[in-house]
Amino acid sequence: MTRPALSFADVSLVFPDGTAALDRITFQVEPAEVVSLVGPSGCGKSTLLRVAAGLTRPTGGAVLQGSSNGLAMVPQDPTLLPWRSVRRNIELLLELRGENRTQRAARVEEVLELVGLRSFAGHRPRELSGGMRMRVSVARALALQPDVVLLDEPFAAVDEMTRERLCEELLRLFAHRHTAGVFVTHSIAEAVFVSDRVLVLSARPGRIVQDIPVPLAHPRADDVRSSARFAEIAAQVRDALRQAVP
Amino acid sequence: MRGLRIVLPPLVVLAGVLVVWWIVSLRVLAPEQRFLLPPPQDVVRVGLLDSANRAEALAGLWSTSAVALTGLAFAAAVGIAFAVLMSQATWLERSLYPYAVALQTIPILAMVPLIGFWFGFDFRSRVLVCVLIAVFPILTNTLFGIHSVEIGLRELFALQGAGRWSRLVRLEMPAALPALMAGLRISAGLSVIGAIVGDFFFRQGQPGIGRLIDVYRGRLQSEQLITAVLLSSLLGLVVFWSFGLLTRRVVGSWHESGRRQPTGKGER
Repeated sequence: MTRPALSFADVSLVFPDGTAALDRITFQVEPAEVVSLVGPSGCGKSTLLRVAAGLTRPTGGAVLQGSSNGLAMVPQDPTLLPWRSVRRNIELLLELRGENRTQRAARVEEVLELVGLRSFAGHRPRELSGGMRMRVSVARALALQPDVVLLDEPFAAVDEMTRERLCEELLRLFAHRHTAGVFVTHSIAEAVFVSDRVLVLSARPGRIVQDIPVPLAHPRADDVRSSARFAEIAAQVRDALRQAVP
Repeated sequence: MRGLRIVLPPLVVLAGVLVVWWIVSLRVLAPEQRFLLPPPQDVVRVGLLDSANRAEALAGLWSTSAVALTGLAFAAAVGIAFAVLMSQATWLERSLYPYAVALQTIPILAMVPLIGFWFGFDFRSRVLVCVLIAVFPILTNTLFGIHSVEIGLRELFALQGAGRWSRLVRLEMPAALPALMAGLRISAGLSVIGAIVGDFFFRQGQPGIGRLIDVYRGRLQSEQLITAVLLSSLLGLVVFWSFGLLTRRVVGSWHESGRRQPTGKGER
C-alpha cells in the first residue's frame, strides 16, 4: 500500500469575519491520480487549493503531503515574469529552490521538449498567445518534478479548442511522470476528461457531497469526449451539482 | 515622408515663434527698449558666434550639468535605497514616508540659506539642492513599482520559500524598473532645475549657467541672457530625451513604457 500523494483530513476554514468557507473536507489523492473539484462558484474550491499549497492556514484539520518532493501550483493566470524569456521563466522556481545551474539547465531543456515549447524558448511572454502562456505556466510547475500539481481553473481564459488540446496534453504529461493532480474547474466536461475522480462540493461552506469515479481508460484521446460512457458520467456530475446548489 | 511629417510641425512652430520674436523686437519695441528683447540674429551673433561669450556660456553649462548629474546620481541612490527599505517593512514605510513627503513640500528656497551655513557655498551645496529636489519622484515611483507587483507572483515566490533578498532581486526590482525609470526621468529634469537654482545662491567655485544668467541680468546683457536661458532649456531637453532612450534600452523589450517614442505627455 503506497502512501497517498496528498491527504486532506477534516480540513475546515472559517474566515476572521466568521464566514465558514470549508467544512470538514476529507479526501485523499493517490499517487498519479487526478482529482477534480467542481462546485457552485464561491464554494471554496480555490480556497481549498490555497490551503493545500500552504498559502492559507486552515482553522481546523490538516493537509499532509506524501513525500518531500512537494507540490507545484498552476494558478488561474499564467503569472509569468514579463522580463524573462520562456526558458528563464521555466527556470525560475528551480532557481528559487536553490538548484545549481547545470541541474536547472538540464531540467528546463527536458521540460521544453516535453511541452513542445523549444522553438519559443527565447520568446518573452508578451509575444505568446494566451494558450501558450498557460503552457509555459504548466511547464514551470512540471520542471519542479512535483508529486502533486494543483491547478486552479488553469484554462479558464483560453478558447474551447485550445482548452481541450491543453487538457489532453496535461494528461499526457501527468502520465509521463506519474504526477498526481488536483484540478479545480467550472467545466463538467473538462473535469470528467482529465480526472480519475470528480469531487462535487456544496455551496459555501464547501463540503464534499459526492465522490464520482471516472472509470475511463487511459490514455484518453479526443474521441472519449463523444463516447456514451463519458456522457453518462458527465450527467451524473451534473445531477450532483444540481443537488449541491440549494 | 514619415520622417518629414514628424519633423515638420515643430519646425513650423519654431519658424512662427522666430517671426513673432523678430516683429516684436524690431517693429514693436523702440530702439532704446530693444534690450528687453533683442532680435534673434543678435542673440545668435553675440551669444553664440562670439567665441569668448560662447566659451563662457558653455563652461557654465558644463558646470551646471556636472552638478545636475552628480545630484541626480545621489538622488537615485538615496531614493532607491529608501524605497527598497520602506518596501520591506510596513512600519518603516509608516515612519519614513511622511518625511519624504515633507521633503517635497518644504520650499527648497527656504532651505537654501541653511544649506549654505552647513555645507558652504560651493559644489557640495549645489549638489545637495539637486538631491533634495530630485529624490522624491525616484523614491515614490520605485516604492509604487514595488507595491504594484502582482499578488499572484508574490505567492509564486512564497510557495517556493523564496527569501526576502531573492524576492527583491528576482521579482520586486525588475517589476519596479519601468516605474523607477519614469521617476528617474522626472527627477532628471528637476535636478537640472535644482542645479540652476543652486547657482543663484551658492556663488563660490566655478560659475554655472544660473550664475551667468544672474550676472547678465545685472549688466543688461540680454543677448547673452537669452542664450543662457536657451542653453539651459536645451540641457533639460537633452536630459529628458536621454532618459527616454535609456528607458527604451532598459525595459523596452518587455514593457509598454519603453516601446513608444516618448512624448512626455503628463509626466511633469
